[in-house]
Amino acid sequence: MCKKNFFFWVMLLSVFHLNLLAQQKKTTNKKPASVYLNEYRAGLMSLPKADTNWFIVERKKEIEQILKDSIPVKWYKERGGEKAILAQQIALSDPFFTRYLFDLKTRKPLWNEIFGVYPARPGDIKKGITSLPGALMRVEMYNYANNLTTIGIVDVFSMKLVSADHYPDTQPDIPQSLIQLAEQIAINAPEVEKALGYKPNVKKPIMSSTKTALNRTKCERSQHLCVAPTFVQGNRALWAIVDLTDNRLVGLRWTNTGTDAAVVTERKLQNETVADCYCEKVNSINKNGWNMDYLLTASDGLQISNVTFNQKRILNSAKLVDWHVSYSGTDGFGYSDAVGCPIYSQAAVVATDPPKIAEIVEGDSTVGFMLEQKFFSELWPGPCNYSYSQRYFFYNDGRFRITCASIGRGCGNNGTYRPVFRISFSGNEQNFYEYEREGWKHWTKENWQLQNPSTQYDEDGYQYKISLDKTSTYFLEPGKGQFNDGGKGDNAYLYLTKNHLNKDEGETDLVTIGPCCNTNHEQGPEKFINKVPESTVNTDLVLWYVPQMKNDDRPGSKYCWAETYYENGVYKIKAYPCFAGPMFVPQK
Amino acid sequence: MQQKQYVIGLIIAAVSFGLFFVQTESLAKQDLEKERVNLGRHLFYDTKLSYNLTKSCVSCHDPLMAFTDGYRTSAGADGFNVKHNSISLLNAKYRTTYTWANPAITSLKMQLQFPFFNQGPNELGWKGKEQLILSRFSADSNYQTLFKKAFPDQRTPININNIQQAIISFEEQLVSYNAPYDQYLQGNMQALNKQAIAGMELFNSAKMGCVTCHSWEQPFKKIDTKYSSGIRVPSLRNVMLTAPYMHDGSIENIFELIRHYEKKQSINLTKTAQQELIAFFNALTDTSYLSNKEILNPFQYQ
Repeated sequence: MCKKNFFFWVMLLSVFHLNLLAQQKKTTNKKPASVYLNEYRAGLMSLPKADTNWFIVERKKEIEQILKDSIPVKWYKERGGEKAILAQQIALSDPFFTRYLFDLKTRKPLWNEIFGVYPARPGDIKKGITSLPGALMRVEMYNYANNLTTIGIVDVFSMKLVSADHYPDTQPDIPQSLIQLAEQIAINAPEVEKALGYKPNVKKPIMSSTKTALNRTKCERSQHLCVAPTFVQGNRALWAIVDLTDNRLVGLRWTNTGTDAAVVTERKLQNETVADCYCEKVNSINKNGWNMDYLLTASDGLQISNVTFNQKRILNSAKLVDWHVSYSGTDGFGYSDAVGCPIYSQAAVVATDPPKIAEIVEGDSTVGFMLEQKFFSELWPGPCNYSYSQRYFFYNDGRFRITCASIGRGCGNNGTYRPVFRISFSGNEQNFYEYEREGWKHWTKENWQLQNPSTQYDEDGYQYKISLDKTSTYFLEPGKGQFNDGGKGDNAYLYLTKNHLNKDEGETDLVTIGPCCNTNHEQGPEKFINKVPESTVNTDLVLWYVPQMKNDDRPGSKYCWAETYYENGVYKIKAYPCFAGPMFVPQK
Repeated sequence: MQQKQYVIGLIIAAVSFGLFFVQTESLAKQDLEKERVNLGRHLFYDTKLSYNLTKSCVSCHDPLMAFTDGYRTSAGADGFNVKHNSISLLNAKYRTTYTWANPAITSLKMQLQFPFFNQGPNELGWKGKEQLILSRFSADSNYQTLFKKAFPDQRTPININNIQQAIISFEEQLVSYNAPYDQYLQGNMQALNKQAIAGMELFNSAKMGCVTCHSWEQPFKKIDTKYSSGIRVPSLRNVMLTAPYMHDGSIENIFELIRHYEKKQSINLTKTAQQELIAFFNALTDTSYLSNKEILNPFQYQ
């Protein structure tokens, strides 16, 4: 009996312990997998209520209707007249251009819209393409489902698509109709009215055409097409973040625009001389041994190309692809600004004056020359208005420097500016090196790196070098506050990618390539580094350089900032530009 | 003999039951704590926590920046900035005071009242909006479940006290004591390179005087917070991730910081010495906590 009891208890005990173990195991097994989800997919955010605003209802009806068409594309009819319509017809009849109109597996129609049709730009015309003057048109289409841009160049005379490229995770400039839709969504949102304390039906928002992002929404990392109509109220700006893929407001954020006065603005209007003489028209400089072409692009700033020094070709091209302006690392919102010619894009920060060439004087000597282009928002330096400068320096001794600056004032006093340079050296036997404590280390694969406080420089302050061939090598000296232009250091990401001659990876005018507000290396150029990085030995290379400048509105340390001040009975503007960019020094 | 066996059997049974109940209770407690941490994690990352849906704890305490925000001073829900630089939440469990300038704030619970109820400026903006914010959680079926699991014995668990308690439970999980320097102190001599060791020696030297204020914290032990001129001496753990520096964020980067103290101590460091110090500061960096998905954004990582 006792034996029986004893065994009974032991058995019971074992069962309990097994049960306990099972419970513990169950708990362990419950450990969640690390799966990326956003709050919609996780079901944590309620679905939008039925839309009652007429502009959204109409938009949705329009989408439904277009999805029933044999070609599920909304055509662009805002500008360009019959020629633009013809260009779209040609593009949409080409199977390569229309490759992603339907889901590749299910063949379900996807929502596409042509955002713009423009005269083709010099950079769009690939080698070997010939056409009658004015016959080439550029058609920009956005695929909402795949977040993909397709750009086609068509010849309206020969009625052919002459080239086309698909750019995943990129977004073209948005058309006026979408700007208006975004503004309507923002103005009519009860959340905006509540935040502002009034319904903003009179005071129009600004920056409505500029793309943005917002973490924990579908706008995160620009997965959806999102813009931020912004309302300035006193020393603050209210960002109404509108998702134009889902046609809804997804969030509001306030930024502090600083207490500095901005009672007057340098109202900058589009200048016909700039448009006629410089927009997408190639000009040349031949000076002090330097020879190059330059042109004001639609959205990649001032581009220099075919750069030679003493007849030796050095650069294929260099340009400023994007300005990423982030106002919150944690919420991930800000702007992706394109700078360029107003007539070819919806860029909010445009060239209003022609490029300027000036001599660089040190002491009593002229040591080189500078090519400069400035870009302005219309109401700069008012809050939420931007001004940028691009400067190329060329020295008589063969050095050159590629720089840009934010001249303020932007939309908040907690902003970080990240301009994205694309620099393509000449030659197909290039090699790239980084300085390390032990000496120069060869980068044999595509890669990226951040300049940080632990970065090693050689005794002359160089961080990298690039050899173009057996006889020509350039050192790269990043900004560390040494260039006497007020710059406090570049803190730059550098990306090295292989230059593919058979596909366009930024050689032509790039649409917005990266989300505005990533705080890590994901600024756009990493998209051109293959999953298995390609060899960078003895080949054609492209350098992407992304400095990071944090603005400051504190007295005594103002940086990337602008204000107005009172003097002798009038208001004047004072700017505190933050210049950044590398110097390239030829190896003797 | 039989009786003896019977008694032994009974004793074993009683002990087993006792052990079982203790274990069960302990497991239940652990489970409950896990549920609270999970709820706290959701709240920490959710903008529902602010009156106008614009801010949450993570707005000023981002894991990528050692739970600071990279700004001189942080902006509240209305865009106005607070007075001070955001303090790292890592190892908050082992701190004894919790704000830059008020030694009287000695618990996370006391500290939480500031972001919740501050009005000059609003941080999360709870003051006068308590019901509005609570009703948001009440209306959300996910939160109903999360609260129910975290506070199973309560009939109306969605209240301010429970919200704060859950956030504290989550904050107590934010622990980081695995920097190369920690490993070095534990005997892994390879954890620091020569440059970092030289930097450590410089840091500890009387000439620099750093250790006068910045004495090293022992992992998992509470230490008394020091104050200098009424301002708390911050931990230097993860210092390379927490710029800008000082209570008002007035020093932008590590070089300026070194220059500031060179001036203060009337010393002039060579470039090599500066790099050694920076190498040592790098050795204070521990981002291993980032591999623990359970403290990251639940809306991104399940």
